[in-house]
Amino acid sequence: MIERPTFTGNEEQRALAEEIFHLMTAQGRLFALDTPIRQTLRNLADFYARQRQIDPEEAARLIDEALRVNSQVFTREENNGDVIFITSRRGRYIPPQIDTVHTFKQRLHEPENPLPVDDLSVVVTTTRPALTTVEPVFISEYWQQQAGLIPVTVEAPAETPATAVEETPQVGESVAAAPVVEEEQVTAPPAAPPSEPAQINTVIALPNGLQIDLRRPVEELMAQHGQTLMSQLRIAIENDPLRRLVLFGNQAFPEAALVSFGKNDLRRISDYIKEVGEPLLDTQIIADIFYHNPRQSDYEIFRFALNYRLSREKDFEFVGVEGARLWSVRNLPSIGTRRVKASEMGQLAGYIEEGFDDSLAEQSVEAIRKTGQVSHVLTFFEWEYGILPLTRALSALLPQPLLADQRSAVLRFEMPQHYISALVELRYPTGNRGGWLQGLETLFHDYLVPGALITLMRTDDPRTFAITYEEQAETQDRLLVLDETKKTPKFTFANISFACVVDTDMLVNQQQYGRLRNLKVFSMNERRKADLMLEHVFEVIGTPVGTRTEPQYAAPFNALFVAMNVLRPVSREYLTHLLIDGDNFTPDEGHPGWWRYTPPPSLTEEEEDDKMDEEDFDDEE
Amino acid sequence: MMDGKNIIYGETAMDKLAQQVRATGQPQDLQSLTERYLEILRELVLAGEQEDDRASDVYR
Repeated sequence: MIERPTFTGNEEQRALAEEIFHLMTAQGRLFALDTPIRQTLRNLADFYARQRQIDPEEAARLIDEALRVNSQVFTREENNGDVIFITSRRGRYIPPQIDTVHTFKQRLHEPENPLPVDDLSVVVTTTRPALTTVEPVFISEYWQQQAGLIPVTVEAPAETPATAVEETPQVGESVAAAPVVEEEQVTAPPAAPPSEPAQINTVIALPNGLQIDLRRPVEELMAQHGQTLMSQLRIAIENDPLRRLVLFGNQAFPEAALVSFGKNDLRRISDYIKEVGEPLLDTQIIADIFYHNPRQSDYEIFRFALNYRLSREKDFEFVGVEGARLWSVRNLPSIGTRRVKASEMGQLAGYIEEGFDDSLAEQSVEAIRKTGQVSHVLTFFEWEYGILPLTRALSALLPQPLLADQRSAVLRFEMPQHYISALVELRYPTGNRGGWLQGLETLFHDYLVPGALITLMRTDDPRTFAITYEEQAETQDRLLVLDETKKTPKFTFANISFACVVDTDMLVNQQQYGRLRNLKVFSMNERRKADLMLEHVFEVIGTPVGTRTEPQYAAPFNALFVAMNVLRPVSREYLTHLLIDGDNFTPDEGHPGWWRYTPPPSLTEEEEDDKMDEEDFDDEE
Repeated sequence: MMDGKNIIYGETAMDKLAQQVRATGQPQDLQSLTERYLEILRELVLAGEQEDDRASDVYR
């Protein structure tokens, strides 16, 4: 409902103001009640002068006076010399008030250090998801230097001229301040002229304390400190809460420019990997699910985005290598034997991480990298379980983890002599637990025997490797096998034919190592105790040389090595360490290369009873 | 020109580095990224682009 305004002034002014009000509201009759209706004084004067046949200047004066008196109805504004009157159908003009008490901008940028915005859900949801990033707290350089976190920056001598430049205004002031300043002029004669450029400090300190001079060419800096500079930049990028740049492997790109993948996309990827039943390459996922073509200009960015997003998802695991980015999901069929658990195998191979690895005794790392192949003699344990401990020699051949937290990689091992291949899982060492390869069981059992000399080779594909062996005429021998068909597994000898060249000392046949059938099939948990295994091995294959009351066993080192490798993997160096460090093992003086084991004296029944009594007595006390 | 002691490696001019990487349209490997970053810092110190530093140091 339109309010009728009350007009003030003399009668003529009231009439004029009312007429103009009706005129303007008629002009804006389709406007909303509060919408401002604007009209210039010039237009009004022209209209009024034509209607009343008077001078436009006079008309303008009259209108201006009449509307000024009625300022409650008409708001007067001046813009570039034009006078504008504003009213509304309500009879007054209320300038709009913009409420800036709460703004979206403030919410995003206050407090001063904004939280990283992962995606829109952080902004639009009412519940804020837990943020994994830690907000940085800036500590001034002074306190960092006091705490010894960063080196104290030594004031470079080059800064002296800069100080001199600062002093130059004093010279100027001294000119104005006449005689008193003459002495100051004397004290500062070496001051550089203001126009001389100040020499500035070009040395920067890296977070690890390394100081580099940026005057030196980049190539020179990279040649000298390349690794440090790259690792420090990597750390800085990884710790940047704003994630201006993000990393996947050795590649970086701004996160803001990456394609986002929704839950539906991730579910499709997961379903596809499960359907295929083995880890898939990123390129295959992109081609089969997203139909993205490598010829598209944004292909590499899309690929980077996919890898980066999957690396941040808990349900996906990266199992690829440089040049072949493979993705796996939970609940995929495991690769390799289930008879040895990962935790147990990590401990069994722990001797490698402890430094008892002699795999590089016959072939250097450089030679392996150059030729791209490693020779190895299979032991019984490796053959039986299809596992190869990740020795230094194998590490030199196999790809390194691409991601810092990568625990495994899935490789393919081919046997070109038989046109077969198998998926093999490479478990990387962690802490004091060793690494290993698993999944070679079928290849080993079908074509090789313990003692076989095999060669592992690289191929053109970074995730594919080849296993070859030298063939010979088929031979049959009674070889050690693990019979697990019965309730209690046991070692036994069986007729096996093989057509591969073997190291005869390492061939576990009945003729050489007949006593090994008496080895106890320990659980993997027990096999972790290498010293106890060695004692058992001595008792099984050793020659009794002591008396009944003081038994003693003697055995050659090579036999001990073969027998120990039936129960668990050991290197020659590790075995030597066990023999030297063990209290009950001594070198056989009469036979070089032989060792003796003297079991600790076992207590007789009477002694045991006495001991029990003593313990009871102690408890009572 | 910017004084070297005011430069925080890995923090100063990271915005500019991100812009440059984005402009390339390809993910960059760490070595070329480091070289590019050193060039930016070098320009800052030698040619003087102090305002970029302020822009990148929003977090300070």
